Amino acid sequence: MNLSRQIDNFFIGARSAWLAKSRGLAVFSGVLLSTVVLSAILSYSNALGQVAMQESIKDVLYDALITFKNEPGFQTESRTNSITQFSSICNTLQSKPEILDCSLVFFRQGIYPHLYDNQWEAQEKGIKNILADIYDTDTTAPERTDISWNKLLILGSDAIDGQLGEAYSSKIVDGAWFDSATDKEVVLPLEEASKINVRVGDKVNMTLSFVNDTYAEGKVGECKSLHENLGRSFIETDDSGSVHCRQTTYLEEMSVIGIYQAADVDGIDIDMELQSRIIVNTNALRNDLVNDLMATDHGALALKIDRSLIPSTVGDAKKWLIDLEDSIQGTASNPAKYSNIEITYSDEIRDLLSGLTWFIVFIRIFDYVLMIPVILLSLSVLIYGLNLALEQRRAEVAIHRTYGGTSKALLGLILSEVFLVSIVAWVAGYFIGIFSANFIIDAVGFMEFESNEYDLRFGISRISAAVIFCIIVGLAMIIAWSKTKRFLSMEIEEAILKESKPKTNTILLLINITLFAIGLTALTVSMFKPDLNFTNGTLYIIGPFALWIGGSIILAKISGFGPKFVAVLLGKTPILSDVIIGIRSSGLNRSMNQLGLIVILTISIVTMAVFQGYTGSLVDKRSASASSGADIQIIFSQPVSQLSVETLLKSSINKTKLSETLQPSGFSSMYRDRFGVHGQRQGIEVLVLSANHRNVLHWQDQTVQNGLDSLLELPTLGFTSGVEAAKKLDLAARPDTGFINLGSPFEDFDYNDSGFDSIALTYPYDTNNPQVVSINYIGGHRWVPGAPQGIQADEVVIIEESTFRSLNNNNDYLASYWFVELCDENNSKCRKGLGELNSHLSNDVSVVSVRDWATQYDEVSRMGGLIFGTPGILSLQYIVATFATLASSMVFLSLILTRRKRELAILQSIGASAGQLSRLVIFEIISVFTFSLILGGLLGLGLAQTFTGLFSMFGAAFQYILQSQVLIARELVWPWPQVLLVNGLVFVLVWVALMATTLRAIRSDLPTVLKEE
Amino acid sequence: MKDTYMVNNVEILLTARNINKSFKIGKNKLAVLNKVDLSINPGELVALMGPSGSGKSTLLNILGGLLKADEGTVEIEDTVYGNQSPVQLNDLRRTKIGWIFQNPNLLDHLSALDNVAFALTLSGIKINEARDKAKIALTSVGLGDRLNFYPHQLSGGQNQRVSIARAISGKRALLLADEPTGNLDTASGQSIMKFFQGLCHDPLNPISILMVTHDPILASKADRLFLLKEGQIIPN
Repeated sequence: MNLSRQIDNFFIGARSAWLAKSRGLAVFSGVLLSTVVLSAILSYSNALGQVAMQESIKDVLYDALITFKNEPGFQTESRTNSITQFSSICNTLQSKPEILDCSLVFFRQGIYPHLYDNQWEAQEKGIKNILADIYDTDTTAPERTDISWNKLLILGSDAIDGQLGEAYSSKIVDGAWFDSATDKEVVLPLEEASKINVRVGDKVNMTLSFVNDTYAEGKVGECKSLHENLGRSFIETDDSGSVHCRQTTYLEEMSVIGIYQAADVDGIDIDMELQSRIIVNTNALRNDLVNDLMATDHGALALKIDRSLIPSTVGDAKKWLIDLEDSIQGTASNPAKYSNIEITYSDEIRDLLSGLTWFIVFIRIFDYVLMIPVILLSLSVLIYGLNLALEQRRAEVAIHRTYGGTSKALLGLILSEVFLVSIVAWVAGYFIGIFSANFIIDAVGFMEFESNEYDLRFGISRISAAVIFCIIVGLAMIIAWSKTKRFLSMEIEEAILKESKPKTNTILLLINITLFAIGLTALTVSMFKPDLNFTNGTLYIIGPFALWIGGSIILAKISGFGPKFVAVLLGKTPILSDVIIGIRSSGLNRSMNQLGLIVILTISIVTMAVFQGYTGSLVDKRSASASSGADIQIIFSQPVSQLSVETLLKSSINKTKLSETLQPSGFSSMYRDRFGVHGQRQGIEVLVLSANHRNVLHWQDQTVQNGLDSLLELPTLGFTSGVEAAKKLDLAARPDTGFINLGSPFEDFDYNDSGFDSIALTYPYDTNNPQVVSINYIGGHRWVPGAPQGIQADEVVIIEESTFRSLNNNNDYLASYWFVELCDENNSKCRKGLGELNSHLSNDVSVVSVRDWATQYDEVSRMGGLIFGTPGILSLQYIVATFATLASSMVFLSLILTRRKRELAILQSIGASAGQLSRLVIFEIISVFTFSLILGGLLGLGLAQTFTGLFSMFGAAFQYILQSQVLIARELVWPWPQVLLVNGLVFVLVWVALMATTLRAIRSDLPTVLKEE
Repeated sequence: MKDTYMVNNVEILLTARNINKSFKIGKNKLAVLNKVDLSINPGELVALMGPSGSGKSTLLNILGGLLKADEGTVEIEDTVYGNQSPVQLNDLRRTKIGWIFQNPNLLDHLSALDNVAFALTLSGIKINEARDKAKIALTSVGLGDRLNFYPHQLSGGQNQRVSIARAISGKRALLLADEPTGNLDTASGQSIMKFFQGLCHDPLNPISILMVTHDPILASKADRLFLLKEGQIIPN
């Protein structure tokens, strides 16, 4: 085909697409929807990877550290003890756009030539840290009897401000950060300030110590001070026998100017040592002391990288970081030199990213698996839309052939039209998809959105864009090509026939029946929750998809009987008696069956997304409840009475703007101690809950093996036990059964039929004459609501206050862990107030940590609760499926009524009234639509139930990866009002669209339509 | 030419007065009918001839209530119309005027019997009664043995007979036929024409027919002939 013919075809195709808008719209909406879905999924998945990356490194204070390449004493010209010379490397590095900040800091554990071989072992043990002991100003160092060494970080003056200073100053909860005029000042971590009972404004004395040399065992008998004006130097010996000389010096009258909250870095060990250190800066130290720290190899240059420049994918990011490292450090054969100084660049981010690779892969696998239905749905809309649109060209193609149109020309004409429409739709869909990922990433729950704090780049790679283009536009072209080829191979007379009866493909039907049967089996299995095995696991994975695909096709065939059903039901009533002959029976109208199929496909996804979305939100709420334990959890450094808690709470509430919302209505304490057990040498960890814990703590049915009611037995000498404690105490604990408990610690419990039902508890633990009481086992607990860090729920038993009092001679006791009921967490004011109250309580020096429900919920839901990114995916599914339902219904209705325009005109010519025509069309289409809507809804319910198995499996895997202590089972919730609202809305909108299109068809120009062949 | 019949003391069945119709084509206005007057008597078979584009179908569409006239009125029995929309004239088409097109315009998914019966149920006749009447109508057009055939199973002439049966089944007084034999062979055309004559000249239940045709032989068999040229009826 020559170029001019090709161009002609494009112009004719464009004109044809424009003139037959409803036909073009079918192709457009199919391509648009598919492109939106695929580009949104890829862009969202890409953004999720970035979120995971940014989350994993957000608490890393320094992105990289620079130290000397060679140890002291080796190639001495490649090192320097000059602070000025070492710091000048920063000037060079900061000229690079990748480096935002660089400054000298002292915290590094030095390397010393006397014990080069054992250096790494010693570093790991952390024995060579710079340490500080803090005490009040009335005491002098020699008077100290209970020295408590804590790790120290000494910031160079340049590290106070800029990005490095910001990393700490943003965590200040009381007081202020250092400023340029700073002198003899110290900033403390909250935990340390509480422990030594120091407040902002207090002055303290400090003993600072650092290791200045290390020797092999027996190589040194005494350590000498480096200078006379320093304190004593003493010997420390580590487990390997290495000997370290620790030099001391004193810092007096240091002002506590700020207290900061260290990052909660569960599971992240890199950079941990910098998270919670006493911080001073070099202005507080004498110059010779700074020089000594430099000379004893404690100095390093801390770097902050411009993270916005890091590529968005893990692979690219790692490569970028390696390139940056090479450019700063040089290579082994060609090391970089900074005035002869050779350096080692230690990247603090890359290792974290390496650990993230599989996590992101796992997220993406889950995301893509979960999006399979919506991808298939959008492709179905494309395929069916194209089929319907092209069917309308059948007669046209045949007519062109009668007056000499060649196959080549006709094929070119139709492909040009489809290609042009597809290109426009693809471009629009691509940008809408990328743009919509912006919103999806903001999902903090099902259809709940809040702007996020991440610096994200939305988009997909060129290769991905090209693949999407090839899949979608390619698919459209292949369908158009094969369909046109079929038209061209038909007899002209056959092709001119308006509608052909669809042929039933028996093999395809059997496949679909088999899929449906597999899906129904998976549904049944997921309802009865048997133990997980290979067969059940396989069913959980393939079942939902088999149910959806097979079910949609089989149910669509059933929905085709809608008109027949309506005819039987209303045929003899005045509503339909005059038009009953005209109502088509099933199977005659392929378009109607396709509409039914699309409605079932879409509505089932909408329904599933609503159920699973709300279930996910509920799981997130339960996770938050398990984590905080109550509306607010306060951990004190010392045991306190309820009166003290009330007083503190009252003053803190008054500082908030929502004091009216925050009304304490219940207090509960948790007391932790080791108790003795008859027959157990080591005793057991016991948590004592105050009497009103059931009103304050957020217990859930899942928390306790035998359900919430079993807790009523706690006051009558009952106890619950974690799985490890149950094993230790040889209790008659039973394993969990059923899929819902997947991941439960009791799942694989080795049940001992002759285990104990009661134990004799003794208290105090380490006395010769303790009180003894026999307590009864009421079941296992899977977790403890609000269990503070450090308490392993598996290893403790829970008793109630009354039991403890009988062991404690009815004495009062004080507890460090307190829980308060304040307001209804479903109220947004309550959530806001809890967050605010948290920060006020955290500022109190007697408080070690505070957890509030609202903050926990925000964190959990932002991360997708059990499964990272799920709220966004389900919200996307919901939006896309709803849009697909509406768009495809409109397009299909428009196409169907366009095809039926002639039929309506004929009926008008023989006197059918507008009312009769409307009833005829509406009852026929609405009966199919309503049947499809109901069957789609039912299929959606089945899908929601069946998907629970898949979600539970992935959820458990995520919990395992993230080492979550609390394993919340996914119990499906059924938000009927929301589902009915959505389906009702779709029904009303389709009704309106149907009325509009019917009226348009009725008002068409009758003589013209009737003259058409 | 035959004399007019007297039915119910009405001599004239349909009268059209001063019918004007023009169409906008771009910015231009094309006058198609210009002050057309005509009348049709009961039981009269009238042929309407004229060159292509002379306005025959337009006139027929206006008379049959499928198109609004710009000016003028049409009166059939006691109903006067002319500038009402087709939707407003459903009753007219259901009770007084039947249509036969060049293309039979049958519903593809209905059998011959149901195509005819459906038109009757739309008039409020019960379905069983409608099917009985449809059988009679189809038998009268010679299709008594093809009741349950679908349009694609019938020949062009047979389909046209189904459309005639549909038009006559409602006992309408006037049939408008727009080139009813245009798609048929000569024999089928003549057979249809003979059937039309029989319908018009039935002494018990005569029907009037206004038929557009290009075939002078068929036209010659009509009781009366109108010639339409440049939008005006030329007296024959």
